[in-house]
Amino acid sequence: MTAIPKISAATMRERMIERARRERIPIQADIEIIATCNFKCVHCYIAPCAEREDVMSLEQANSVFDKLQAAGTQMVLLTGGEVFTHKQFREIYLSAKRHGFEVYINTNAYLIGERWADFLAEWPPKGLSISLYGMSAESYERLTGIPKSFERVMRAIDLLIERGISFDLKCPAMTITAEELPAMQAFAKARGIRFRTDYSIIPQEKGDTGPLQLQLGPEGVMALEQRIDPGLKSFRAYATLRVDGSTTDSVYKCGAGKTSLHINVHGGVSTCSTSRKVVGNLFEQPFGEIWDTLGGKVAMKYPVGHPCATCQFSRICAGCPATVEQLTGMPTGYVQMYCKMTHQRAYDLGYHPTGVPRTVTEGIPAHVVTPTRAAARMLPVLA
Amino acid sequence: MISGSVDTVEYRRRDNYVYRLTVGEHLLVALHARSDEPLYALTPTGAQLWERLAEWMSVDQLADALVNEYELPVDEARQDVRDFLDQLASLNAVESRATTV
Repeated sequence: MTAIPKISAATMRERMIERARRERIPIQADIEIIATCNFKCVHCYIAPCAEREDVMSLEQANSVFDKLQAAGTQMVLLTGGEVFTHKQFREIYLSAKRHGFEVYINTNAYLIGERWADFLAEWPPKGLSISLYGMSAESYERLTGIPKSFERVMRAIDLLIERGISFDLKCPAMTITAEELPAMQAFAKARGIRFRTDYSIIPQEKGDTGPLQLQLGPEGVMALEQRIDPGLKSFRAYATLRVDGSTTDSVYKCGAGKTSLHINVHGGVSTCSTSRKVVGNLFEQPFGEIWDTLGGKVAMKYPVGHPCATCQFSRICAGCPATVEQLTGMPTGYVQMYCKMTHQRAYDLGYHPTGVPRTVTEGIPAHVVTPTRAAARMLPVLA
Repeated sequence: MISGSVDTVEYRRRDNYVYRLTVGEHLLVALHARSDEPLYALTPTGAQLWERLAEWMSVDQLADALVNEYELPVDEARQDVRDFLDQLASLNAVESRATTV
């Protein structure tokens, strides 16, 4: 008898994810355990709206863990706000591990000193993702609003490396980070750390569109992409698997609401961390009831005549239903800025003859929802 | 001093792994850094033995469980249990003690 078969964790995880896709099992959950943060980042869409009481207690976290465990969740991301400012973070983290979850952490790393680094070395997370905001004290502090934030984060990175704790670095690409992003990428590469970026900025949770002023326009995105991914080599590899001439009228093409979900500090459940539209409350309702509602949401189709329904680049779109929802109020909305970025990429890859979306020449159908007036005023491409 | 002879060895699972049955997989999830892999798969039989190892159990007690459940020959069940305990020991997932009478 081989009671512990020789199978790698990665293979087993793939097998589980495949089954989760087939059977719509919520294998991954993002849990926002605190909405407040010790940084005052100019682009943030959560913390600026947060109050001191926007914290999930240990008891509430445990009730969420119990429900997720019963539902089949295996991977749990603890996120914020800044999780290390949570007074019960240690207890919540260990409880998540003792529930048998593979635990991931999002952090700005400011509070990771010797003690937290030792703790993480003893109780390693499955994944640790650190937000990086610049490569100099001046730029870092301009973005975070916190003195010595660069120095503290650099020290945290050294402490984690010294202890062999694996982590990745990420930085949102926006007007105030674009210049230093290639240096951040080089910093990560020199240390053997994975680095990733994202080009979508969304309004604050309570509607303030201020962060949208930081959104890079299509030209800015393309110029930056050519610097961090010369010849779009990595993007081409990604796109090759996703652009085959076919189209789909399904709005949600990712795993949101199908194999994953997001839970905010008050138990509100949404498709993912970008979407702030909750469909139910896990503190008050049975999991199955909310999961069914979420399933209905992510099964939605584009209305007839919607430009995305017949777009062969929808699987490599710069936007997603959640970012579109934040800008237009509906996942089925249309944001021409994303469309221009995507078509420009398609042009650079040789998939599209001009790089100009059809809506530029033919117009946007009148029944398609576009960004709210407040959002449109801030975006670099009006649509 | 208490005198006695070693009669048998008993085993109990350590608390450095958590067992879960999820998405059709019997998982042994590592809590600490001192593990080669973050998680391991168990067979249903392995999972059954793991559950029993919440208490101190001898090879014979574990083998009896397999005999009753699967109608295995006793010797085969004992060998299966020993193999499983060896695997768990290599993961530092089980502790043992000698019992005396």
